[in-house]
Amino acid sequence: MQVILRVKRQAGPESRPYWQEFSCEAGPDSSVLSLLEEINSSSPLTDAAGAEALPIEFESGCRQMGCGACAMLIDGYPRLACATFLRQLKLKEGVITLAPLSKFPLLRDLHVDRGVLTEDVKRMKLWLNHDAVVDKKELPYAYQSASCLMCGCCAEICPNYQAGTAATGSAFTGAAVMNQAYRAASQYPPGKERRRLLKENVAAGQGHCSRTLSCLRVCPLELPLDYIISRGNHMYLKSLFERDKSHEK
Amino acid sequence: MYDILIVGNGLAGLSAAITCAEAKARVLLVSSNQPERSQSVMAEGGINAALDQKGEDDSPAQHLADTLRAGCDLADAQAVAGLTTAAPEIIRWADRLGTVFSRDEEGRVDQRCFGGQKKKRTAYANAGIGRQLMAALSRQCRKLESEGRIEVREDLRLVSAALGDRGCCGGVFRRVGGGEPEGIAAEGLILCCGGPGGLFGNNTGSLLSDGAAAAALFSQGAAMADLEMIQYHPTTAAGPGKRLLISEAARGEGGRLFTYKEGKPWYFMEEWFPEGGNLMPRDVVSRSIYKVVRELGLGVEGRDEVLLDISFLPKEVLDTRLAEICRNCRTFLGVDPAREPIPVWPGVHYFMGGFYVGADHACSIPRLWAAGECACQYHGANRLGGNSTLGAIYGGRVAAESALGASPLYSAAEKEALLEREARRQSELAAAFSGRLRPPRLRQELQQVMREGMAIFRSEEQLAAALGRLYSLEEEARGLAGGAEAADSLTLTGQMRLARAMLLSALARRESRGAHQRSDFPARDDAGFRCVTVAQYGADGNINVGFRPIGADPCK
Ligand SMILES: Cc1cc2nc3c(=O)[nH]c(=O)nc-3n(C[C@H](O)[C@H](O)[C@H](O)COP(=O)(O)OP(=O)(O)OC[C@H]3O[C@@H](n4cnc5c(N)ncnc54)[C@H](O)[C@@H]3O)c2cc1C
Ligand code: SF4
Ligand code: SF4
Ligand code: FES
Repeated sequence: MQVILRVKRQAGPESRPYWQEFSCEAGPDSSVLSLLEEINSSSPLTDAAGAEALPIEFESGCRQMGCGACAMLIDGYPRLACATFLRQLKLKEGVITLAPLSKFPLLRDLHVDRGVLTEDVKRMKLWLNHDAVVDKKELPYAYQSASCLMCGCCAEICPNYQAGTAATGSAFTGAAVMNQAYRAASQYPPGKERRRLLKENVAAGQGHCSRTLSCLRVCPLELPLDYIISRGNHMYLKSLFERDKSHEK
Repeated sequence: MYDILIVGNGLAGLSAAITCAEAKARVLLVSSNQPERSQSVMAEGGINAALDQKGEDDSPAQHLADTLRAGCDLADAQAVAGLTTAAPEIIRWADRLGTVFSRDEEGRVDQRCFGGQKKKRTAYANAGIGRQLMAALSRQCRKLESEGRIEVREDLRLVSAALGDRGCCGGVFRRVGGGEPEGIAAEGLILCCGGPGGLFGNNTGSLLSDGAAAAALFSQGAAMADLEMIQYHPTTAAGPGKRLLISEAARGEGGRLFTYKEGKPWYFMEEWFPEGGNLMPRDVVSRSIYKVVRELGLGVEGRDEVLLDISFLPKEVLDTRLAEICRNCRTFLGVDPAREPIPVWPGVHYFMGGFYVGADHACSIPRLWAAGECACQYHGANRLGGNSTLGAIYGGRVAAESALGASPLYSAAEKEALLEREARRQSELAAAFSGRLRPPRLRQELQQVMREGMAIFRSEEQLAAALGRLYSLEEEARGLAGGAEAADSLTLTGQMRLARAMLLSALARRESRGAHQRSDFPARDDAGFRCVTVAQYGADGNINVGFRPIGADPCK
């Protein structure tokens, strides 16, 4: 079937955005990413009206839902282009609308800078200053939280997330970063360091989260964000009453 | 001004950066992307180490022997001994950093069976070892970064190295998304830029591992080794625009390969190899599948396919240890492995060849090191599953250790001048393009040529035909587009040069060994070819292919 890809384009952060349409041949099992690749590799590259166009800029890598690069707004919804197939889309009048994630600074076309997520991790110091301990009960969730692609879909949909700048980070970090806080905390023995991480997470994470769980619905890996968020909370409350065991053993 | 500049933030690059930071070197880690995107995150099955905790009497010496045997005696035994001896400590290190490994009942890092190894030696994390290792290593790197011990850039692509008569003094980069070439000075450059999957396309890896950096350095005279050694993973499925890997873990957990013969399932691996069965080394399994389909004509419904059955495994295994595999099959193939077998066929997966390096990971050009998949080390003619994540972490470490403490080769002013000269040269080379032909089109043709020329079985005729087609593509490349696409056009011409070196290397090795199978020279020839194929690009524009003894020093 013939589809129209309606792409929001912008040459750079300061340039004026505009919409451009491309037409291509596709089947129900084509992924959105494969359409973008198809358009970009045509020679000459022309839009639906036949005018010459510049290649569309976007990120991609694994093409199998493994690297998080290709997140974008597909018909207004944050999704991975490589794992979104035409059969899943409404295709009203054969049109698919593509726009960059709106909560991150734009670089060009569909390419945004998600580095602010990493800045939050650094600002909150979400790492270990101690050898990791293994808490068997938390293990499956620690595994899931480390599987996070840092794709940013959860932040995009979250009603409370508003990215800051690389220098300031964001006031509320969103689910992806809470994930990291949880994992680090779950790898500490009870004690000061763990409490610090959990407190950090309350201040910049859970404290702002209204549990709407929109993040859960868009996460391409269907990570158990609800568990991870409430687990973080539970661990925090517990930590208020715990003795410091990090020096024992 | 840095002591050490590292390019690429997969497992090799992160490991090198952590090593440098701990030794208090001034280090800059550069990549075109954040580490979460690197191909390393895609590793599924596991990482090898003789931890000897399964009561099987395992040892690094056996790990060494298995690695050499699978590599068909082409790997440098001394270097591999270093790798297998360090392996247990590397697992413990990764564990301390918080890698979420799968655990056994006692809470120890669990290990599973993998191809070509009789002992349970592959530490794993369900079917997502790469993501878990990368999560731990990148977290450690970020900590060191915030302490000011590593500097990080995630928006630069290496286009070439700055080389003077004494060796390398830094790299020239372009910003992702455009911009002019700019130089960064250092006493040494460690390349951790991944394998050249982009020369083939339709492979199992990431688009980010495009071989462009290796091609650029090759064009500048860095020698490449064993480029003909390309691993076809036996079990890959036809995904959207790529081969989707069905990890060896599927067979490690008990999965069985079969096809239909006279209407009944025929488990050909089990019949042909009663001992190794489905877990023979990858080159053997790939060739067996090829034989079943192409020679016996027993492909499923006449297609290039056999079947991999894991449906009979306990649900609990499918949902945990093989979770990622099952999810990928459902999402990308529309196949539910709990109910039906997975259609598979060998696909381009891993490059044993790459930068010609010694046991210390030094390249043929002074002050240049290479580690991880871009380097030719440890795997010989065929890599064992679970050895490349290990080789990347260990190699990054060894490269960093040998790069540390390098005394200045050039004055600051000399470095500046060399960097400026190289940046100017890169702009001029790109500015020479002014045609209309768009690089992605021509790149697809290059990939087609390479897939056909460097198929599982090769012959003089087939390789020469591919070379002929490549020459005409190189001719066409003169018409590549300039302007916004000039840099990509230049990248593509480099990739074509590296592709040519691969074909020439495959022509030169007139024997069959491991991943390199010549239908016109079907026997292994130790007297003639138990040595390293070395390809080098000369100033005259010709590629010279010769042979060097295993373990020789690339600098001499
Ligand atoms: C699907 C799959 C499954 C696998 N499973 C396993 C397994 O179970 N066990 C195992 O041992 N191995 C496995 N492997 C192989 C293993 O993952 C890789 O060989 C290994 O991770 C390579 O690591 P690396 O650090 O060398 O390179 P990569 O992880 O490829 O990293 C290279 C980095 O360099 C960057 N880069 C490239 N060019 C440039 C440039 N010009 N400028 C700047 N940056 C650049 C890239 O963007 C990337 O960040 C698997 C591979 C694949 C594809
Ligand atoms: S639960 Fe709601 S508020 Fe909390 S992170 Fe998810 S989307 Fe945001
Ligand atoms: S939690 Fe899910 S949606 Fe959010 S960044 Fe991670 S993978 Fe993406
Ligand atoms: S390309 Fe990696 S997640 Fe889509």
